[in-house]
Amino acid sequence: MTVYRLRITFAKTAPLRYTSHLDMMHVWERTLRRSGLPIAYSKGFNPGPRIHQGCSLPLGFTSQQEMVDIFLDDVLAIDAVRSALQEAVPPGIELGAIEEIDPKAPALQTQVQSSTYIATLLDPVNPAELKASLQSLLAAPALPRTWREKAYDLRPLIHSLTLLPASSGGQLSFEMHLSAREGAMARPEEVLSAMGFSPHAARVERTKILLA
Amino acid sequence: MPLPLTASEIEARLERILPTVDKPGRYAGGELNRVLKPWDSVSAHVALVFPDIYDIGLANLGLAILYDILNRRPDVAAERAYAPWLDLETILRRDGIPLFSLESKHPLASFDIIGITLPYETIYTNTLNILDLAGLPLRSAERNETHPLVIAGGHAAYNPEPMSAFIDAFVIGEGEGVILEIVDAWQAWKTSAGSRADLLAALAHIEGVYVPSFYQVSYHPDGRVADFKPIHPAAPSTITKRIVPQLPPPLTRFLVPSVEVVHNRIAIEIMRGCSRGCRFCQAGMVNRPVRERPVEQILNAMQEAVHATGYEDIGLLSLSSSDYTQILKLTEEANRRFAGAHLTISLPSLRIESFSAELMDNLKDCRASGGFTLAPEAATERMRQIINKPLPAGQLLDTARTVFEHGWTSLKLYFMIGHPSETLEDVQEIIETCYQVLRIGQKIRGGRVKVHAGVSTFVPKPHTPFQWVSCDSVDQINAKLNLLKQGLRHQNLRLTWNEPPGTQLEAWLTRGDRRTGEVILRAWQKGAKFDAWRDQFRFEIWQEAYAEAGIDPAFYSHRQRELDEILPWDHINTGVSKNYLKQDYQWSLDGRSRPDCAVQCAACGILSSLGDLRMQFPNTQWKCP
Ligand code: SF4
Repeated sequence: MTVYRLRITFAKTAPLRYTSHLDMMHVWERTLRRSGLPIAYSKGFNPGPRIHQGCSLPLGFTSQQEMVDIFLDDVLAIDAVRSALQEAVPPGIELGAIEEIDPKAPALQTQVQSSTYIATLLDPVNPAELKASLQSLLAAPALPRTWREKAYDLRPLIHSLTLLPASSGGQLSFEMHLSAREGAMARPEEVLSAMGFSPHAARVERTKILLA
Repeated sequence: MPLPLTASEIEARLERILPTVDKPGRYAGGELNRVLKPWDSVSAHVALVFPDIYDIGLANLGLAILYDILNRRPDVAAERAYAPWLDLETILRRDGIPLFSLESKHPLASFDIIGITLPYETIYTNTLNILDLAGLPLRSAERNETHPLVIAGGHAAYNPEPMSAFIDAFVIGEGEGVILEIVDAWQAWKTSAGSRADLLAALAHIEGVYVPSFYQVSYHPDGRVADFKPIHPAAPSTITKRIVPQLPPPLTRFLVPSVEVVHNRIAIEIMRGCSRGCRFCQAGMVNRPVRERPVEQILNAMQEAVHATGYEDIGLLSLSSSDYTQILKLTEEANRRFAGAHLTISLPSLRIESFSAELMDNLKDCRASGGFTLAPEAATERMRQIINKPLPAGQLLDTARTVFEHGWTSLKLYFMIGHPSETLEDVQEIIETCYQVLRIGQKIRGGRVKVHAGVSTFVPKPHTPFQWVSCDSVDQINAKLNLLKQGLRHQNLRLTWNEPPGTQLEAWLTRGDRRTGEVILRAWQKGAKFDAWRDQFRFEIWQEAYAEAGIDPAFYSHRQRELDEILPWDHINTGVSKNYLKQDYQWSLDGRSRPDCAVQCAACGILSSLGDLRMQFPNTQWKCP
């Protein structure tokens, strides 16, 4: 049987921001079933559509770029796949590029290297102070932290932190470029909290996923 | 007083609040197939409310149907609201944010009509809590023209009296036909700029709508109803339930939540009503007559619904699926049409005796991993005659054998204890039956077979032949439960049961009267809510609430009523006559069962109450003669 693997890039917007990584799996399964595409099913006692999700996005975040790999039993024109999916996606998914991938390529999750995020602070902050705080994080030789009772150093997982020009509404935001390799993944909430902010002090959006 | 918050202000506040609460996806709205109309594009806004959390309420089929019907009307917008979980409630109260609808985040108080479903009694305190979170006065009498109209329906509304002080109007029966008439009446009233009383009078003129404030009750000194009478010219002396004479094509555009909830599936009602006449079963009495949907309509709906939702599970629902006359054809066709589609089709509520090996074969292809369920309800012949669930001797074991032979390895058996005149010997027989079934299963499928006994406690319900009887005493129930717990200790047997206090509350409320409303209010004021949740339910609050109101709850639960007593719900006509119920009760005392009325009509009253409807729709598929 042909296995045709497609990589779908999509934006995850507000209606799905509180849908977890696990629940996104169901969202995609149902989207594929609605689309009527010839989806490939996994073997085994409880067969389900074969789907590889990219790296997980924390609950509450939106994203301009998410990725998912789907598997079909038939080769179809990308345009046909796109129009079938376009009809089927729920509010909160906006389709981007769709490209063919070698079915034998490693799982999507293992290819992810890093991610960029933009954090927009909800409350007013002094721009100079914010800038200093970002710089001091970058200047620190190490940022020892614990996540789920495991100690780790956040600093080497941060590639860059950049203050962005203030929005017209005066809200300040900054960009983070963070490692997202399996086992070496930096969380934007951890950066916020290393800066002394509550993880809920900012609205965070992922802007890019960088693959190997 | 501060101005009420607008939808966009609420949305902005939620932006900060939701990330801090458990499962924020419950409150996000924005699901596939939800309908969001621009607020000013419609003339009537209806909020449909399920008074428990989203996870439980989303799948409610009744509300889903009303949501669809209302939103098909271009001049109406229907949105939804659910009970917030405790964490969000605390924040809403702290910050003075009113409860809002999921779609547009408008405060509930800004809707024109609030429609609440009351599927069971232990949801009453949540209902008050929701009205309070919406910032509305709880009592109907304290609301005026500036407040939304508050209506309610659902199974518990067949005895509307306990909640009658809080609800402006009840819909008795099936909401499909009547909901648009209510909206019409509201719109006409709105343009006429009438008073609240004018609106209620217009509603009382609609068949199947009960406006409690138009009636007066007086009581005997001992608490029994002495007199119940209309005190308004628009109020009929009895309110006959509404039904749809012919079931419309089923709903297919189900809401698909973006987070997992209970029963994430397509639910298609293949038949409404049940002809068996089990005497303990309110649903079996109040949902008559039996109406079936055509096979083709069901199959098409399945197809459409899969396309509209992407769900993998389909439940073909009814009170007794194997009694659906075309069940073999339906399951065969479904297997054919959906072969290879990776769907799980389930058929709950199979009757033990109308269940064939063929049907079993058809189900095999689409079996759920969950195992198989049969509901004998009682284990002795004598008991089954009394509750009118007769079963030829040996039939249960034969059916169990067939189930195991068809490959299932687990079987769930539903029993009920506390039936009228039940003894410990009858309960002992439940234990014996479980062991017999287990031995049969093990002989066929070996050691890993599991038998699960789900035991609930009988609660006499209004509008049933047992509406007059007393509950078993708490001591009796405990003795029976202890017997079961000791008798069913085996690694392959599992017993689950309902805790007596929860059952007791249900028994107090279900046959309650208007005075019960004061108790519900008191209980809520003292902190009762989520009474249906085992870990939230606080029985002592209810005991105190009854005591403070000076009412002995045993009056409602543990009292044998005289047959000529005026029952608090007598003005509600479900179509089944009181004389029929009396006769059927008498038969139960005589240990006499009654045949399935699909075989022989028992003249239950349906035809004299609702027969006219059938004349108007000659093609209806009623199973009555
Ligand atoms: S009228 Fe006869 S057939 Fe119809 S529901 Fe009543 S008893 Fe059954």
